[in-house]
Amino acid sequence: MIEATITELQEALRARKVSARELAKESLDSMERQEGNLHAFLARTPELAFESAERADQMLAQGNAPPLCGIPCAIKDAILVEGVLCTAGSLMLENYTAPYDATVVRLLREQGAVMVGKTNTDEFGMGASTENSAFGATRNPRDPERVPGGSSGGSAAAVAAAECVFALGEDTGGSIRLPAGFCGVVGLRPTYGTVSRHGVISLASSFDQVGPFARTCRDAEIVYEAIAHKDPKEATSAERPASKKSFGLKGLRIGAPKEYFTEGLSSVVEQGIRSALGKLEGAGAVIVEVELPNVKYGLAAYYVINTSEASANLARYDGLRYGLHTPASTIKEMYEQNRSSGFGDEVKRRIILGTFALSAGYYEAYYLKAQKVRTLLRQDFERAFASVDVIAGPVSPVLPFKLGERSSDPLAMYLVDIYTVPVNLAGLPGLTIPAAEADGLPIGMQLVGPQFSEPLLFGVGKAFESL
Amino acid sequence: MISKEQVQAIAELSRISLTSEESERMARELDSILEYFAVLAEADTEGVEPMTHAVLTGSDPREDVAEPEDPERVERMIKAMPETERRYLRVPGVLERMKHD
Repeated sequence: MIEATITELQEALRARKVSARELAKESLDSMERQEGNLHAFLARTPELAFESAERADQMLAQGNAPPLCGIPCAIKDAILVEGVLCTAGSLMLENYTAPYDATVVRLLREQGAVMVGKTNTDEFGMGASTENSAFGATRNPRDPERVPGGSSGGSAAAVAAAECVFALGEDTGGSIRLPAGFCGVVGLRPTYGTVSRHGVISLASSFDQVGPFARTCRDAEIVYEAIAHKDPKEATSAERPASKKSFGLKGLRIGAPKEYFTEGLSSVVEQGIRSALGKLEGAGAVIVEVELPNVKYGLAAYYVINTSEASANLARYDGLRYGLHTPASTIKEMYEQNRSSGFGDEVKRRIILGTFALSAGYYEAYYLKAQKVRTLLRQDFERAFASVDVIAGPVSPVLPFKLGERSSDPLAMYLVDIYTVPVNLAGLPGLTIPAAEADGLPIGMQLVGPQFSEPLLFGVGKAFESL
Repeated sequence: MISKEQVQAIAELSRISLTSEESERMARELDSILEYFAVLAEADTEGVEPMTHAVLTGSDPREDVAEPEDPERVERMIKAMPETERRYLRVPGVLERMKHD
């Protein structure tokens, strides 16, 4: 049953055709069978799973079960679950036990969701393949020679392989949308501020946003509705406007950005996306070319800001209060020892690059310039949304690549993010849906809308699924 | 664009120590990334305000009131500290060291 949708499972659970305990067992069995090949999980939590399943079965017996009650799910290992290790894929936090729940985890617990484990991630979310995890890469369930995308690759793979029904990930520059595309599942990066970041290990605070992975748009929407709430513990969290409006494809104006279909886009991906756009057009949508002229600066601006914010955010990992700790005679030596042995190569590279970009003499040319470009990009999207309802294009310029193919060239890895980062720069929501296939590999399409337009994105996604 | 010596100096500021080979490799990698970043200079940002955050409406801080935390949770956090003395976090001296520097 673990391959069913949340809606189907809700019905089966309420009709007592299956218990939460049985579903939890099915999920853990599926992990047992597949984890040797996939390595989607850094930790399995059977005790927690059976404990919450028992509670879920009680809630179901009382007849007041919320939508996620009894549904097995996985949590990216950068999101705190009280009493469970939380490593962020780093040796720095190898033995760090979360002292409290992230707000998103608390919300899932309150609904009676059943957490079966913590999923693999590039170290501190820095990567596009999960190969930067200190604990080994995750493999793509569609082809184990290939990467699942990153950084939330473990969550995407776990959902694609039906080790669980849904999962939470975190998207700083594409870390939900890219792995969703590579693994052939649905993934939402919500509007910045709609989901609380309290209890989520930070990479770049002005971009980070938690969101769901699921196998259908409706499932992802149910999870999104469960976690998108204003949180007094998070000053940037916002109230999402209520929406009961339904959306159809007839007459819907879909913008295809000219800049997303130029050099660098592989021809198979282009064909897949064009055929998906053709389907939408056949169902009554109007496809229009739009221009986002500043997208060409997007990747550079994103990585300047990402590394700058990361260099400041990761200053907290000094080994004094928690995390990797090696005694030394002076405090400077201790910092250097802990940080040099605790951080992997990509993390060191970004901290050094960010420190450089923020240093006197370079600040204006890099950090300040990138923030101004960020304004230009936001204005590009605003102009585009004056003439279209939603923007659609590829998630990634390439199909899922092989393990090791890009890991020795940091810039080649950054370039995979070229179509996803503009959305983070502008603070917009982006939804990945499986759109086509080539050579047995999935091609993801990205739907982008104005701030708080998640209901519209899910509406378009659900309509596409039914075509 | 960025020298091995510059990399070493920045690494020290970030409290990361690199071997000589590591700094050399890092300088090479950062060079190719910075070369890519050079495209930013072409953007016309004359008179454009910087966007410092994705929340444009401003943040919404809560009242500055201390809320009691679950005492068990506090104990667990203290227990997780690498070195403690009574209920305090123990760290190597900072000020004392500065006198000698």
